[in-house]
Amino acid sequence: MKSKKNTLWAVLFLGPALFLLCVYLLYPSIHTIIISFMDQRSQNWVGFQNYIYAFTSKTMLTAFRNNLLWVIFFTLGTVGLGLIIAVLVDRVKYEKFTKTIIFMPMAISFVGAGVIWKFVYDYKPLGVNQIGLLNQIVVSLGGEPKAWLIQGPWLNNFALIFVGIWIWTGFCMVILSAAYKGIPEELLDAGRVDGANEWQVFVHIILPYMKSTIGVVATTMVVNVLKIFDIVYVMTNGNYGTEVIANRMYKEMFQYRNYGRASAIAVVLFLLIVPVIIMNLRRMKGEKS
Amino acid sequence: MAEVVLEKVNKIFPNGVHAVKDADFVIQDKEFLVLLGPSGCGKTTTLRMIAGLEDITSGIIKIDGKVVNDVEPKDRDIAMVFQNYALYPHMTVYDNMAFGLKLRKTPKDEIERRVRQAAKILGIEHLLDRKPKQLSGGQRQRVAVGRAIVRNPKVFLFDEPLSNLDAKLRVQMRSELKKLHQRLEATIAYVTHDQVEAMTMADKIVIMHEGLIQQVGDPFDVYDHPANLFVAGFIGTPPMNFLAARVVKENGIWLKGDGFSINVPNDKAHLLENYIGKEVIFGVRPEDLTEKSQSENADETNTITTVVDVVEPLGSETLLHVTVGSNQFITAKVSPQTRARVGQRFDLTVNLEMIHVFDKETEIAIF
Repeated sequence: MKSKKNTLWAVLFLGPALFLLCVYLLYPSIHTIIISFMDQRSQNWVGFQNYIYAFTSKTMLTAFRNNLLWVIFFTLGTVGLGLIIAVLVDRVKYEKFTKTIIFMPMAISFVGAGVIWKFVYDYKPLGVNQIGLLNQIVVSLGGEPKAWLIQGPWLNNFALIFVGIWIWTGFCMVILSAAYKGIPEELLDAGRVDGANEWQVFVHIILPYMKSTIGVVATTMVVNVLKIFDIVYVMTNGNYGTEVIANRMYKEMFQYRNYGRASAIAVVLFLLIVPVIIMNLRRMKGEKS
Repeated sequence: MAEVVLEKVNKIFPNGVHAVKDADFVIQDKEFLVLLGPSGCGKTTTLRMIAGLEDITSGIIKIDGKVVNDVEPKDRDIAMVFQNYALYPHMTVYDNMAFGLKLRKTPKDEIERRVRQAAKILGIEHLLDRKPKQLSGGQRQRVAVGRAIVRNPKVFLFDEPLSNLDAKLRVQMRSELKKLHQRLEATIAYVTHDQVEAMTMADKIVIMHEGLIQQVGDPFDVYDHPANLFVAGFIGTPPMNFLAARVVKENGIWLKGDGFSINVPNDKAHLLENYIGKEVIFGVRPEDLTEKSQSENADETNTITTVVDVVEPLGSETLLHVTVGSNQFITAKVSPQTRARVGQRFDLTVNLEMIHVFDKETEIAIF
């Protein structure tokens, strides 16, 4: 009798959440997986054809390469710079001001940031007035203007990655700074008295102490960047060899109306992100315990 | 081992707080010096300045004859034990102790030998593979001490190392540290606010208050001859009793106050010549007050009549909290066989050899 009553309560409490999860998460996911095995209009089964496209077509291979570039350099850039800034600004008087400035890009929408940087990177041929800040600086120093967003595959991809780093470094800095401030001052003093210089204190005491926070921030950044879309969409729309997986998915879906391919790419992206999310959850659990 | 000299050392923090004022003392070679004072008196700041963790605003600090004002902590050849132990949480006990030696590029077998030797001295050999979070407070304390002694530094600095231990362990560690000092023949500067620790461990005590050094001396010196009212009140449990008195000359020199009249012994009377007719502060320690019936030489020159407020039997002795005159409260440490009862009149005899008198204005001891 009692267990029946308990079941009722459980259903009552869990029901609404489970219902919403099923409608908005589980059903769309399963549906996406199903139509990833169907043709352009989701009418006929095509087997693994869409997946073969996703793993072999030239555009998709470029997108994979670029996503890999993003994962490596964006993560290293945001976490590395965030950590360095967090440790350095802790020692200056105008810490709050500096942190506010560095965090500010987070307050801008990524599309907005894309537009701003599109102007910064703007290119006009030599002899024409430069409206791009970066090229104006290059020209006034006696250099030749560069087509930052067109010249590929390295220059334009790194120009885009830099924008991502510019936006996200502040976020990493804030979290890492909180972790840094949690290190007992005595611990650092103990290191100094033990004979460590500031670099050795950083490497042997600060870094190991912040290891798990750095791990969580880094995996969060990896998840973020695997889904990278808006910056690329606004600034190059994936042209000139800057395509990324999410942008390709968008194009297949809304420009070419190829539901099968778009869904297959979505599933691939999902599968890439799942292990990182699991890792992140494990770390967070570890942190709690 | 080495001598540490502080000459007119001052510390003014950026917010304007003058934490240490003209600190001037010497820690002799192999000496156990205790910096004692209440919270916020500047004792830890002084220790941190010796360590090099705090810049000094003015003055000179010398270690082993060398001025170290601008020398980094790592180059001062000192070791420090912190209040919260400050063990590196990600390292094992062994690595915690070996860290300083590794940084100095000591050969591996030498590190191994020294860590094991220190662990043996401290009885923590079985803990070498553990992480700090797997240790109890007392064990962490030993590791922190071990980390200091493996380096064999010129000077050991201890910053309230026992304050996080429970009372029983504190007593045990106190004697262990004392033994360690004798064994290592180390120069030690030890900060504490606990006067029992200071009295039991120190060769020399430096008492600080509000950034100023109040007195430097050996434990008996500061206990028997406090330099001023602050030291007299700070050293000793229960603290010294103070009563307002007037110096009166009639058949010798007398200290007269509300409800008491004490004859100053001849050998000290001349020190009060300049104070005749003036207000002073009369001080006597609780243990220098005895029950009149237990005293052989009680008479009207050394007896105070009181009313008993509280009786506190402690087993080995009994504390009496009594009222003198209309509204002055003092404490007496008497034998447990006392017949004092709450509310009764009770006569206490003062040990005249051990009385203290302080100038009311300057609070400096007259004797």
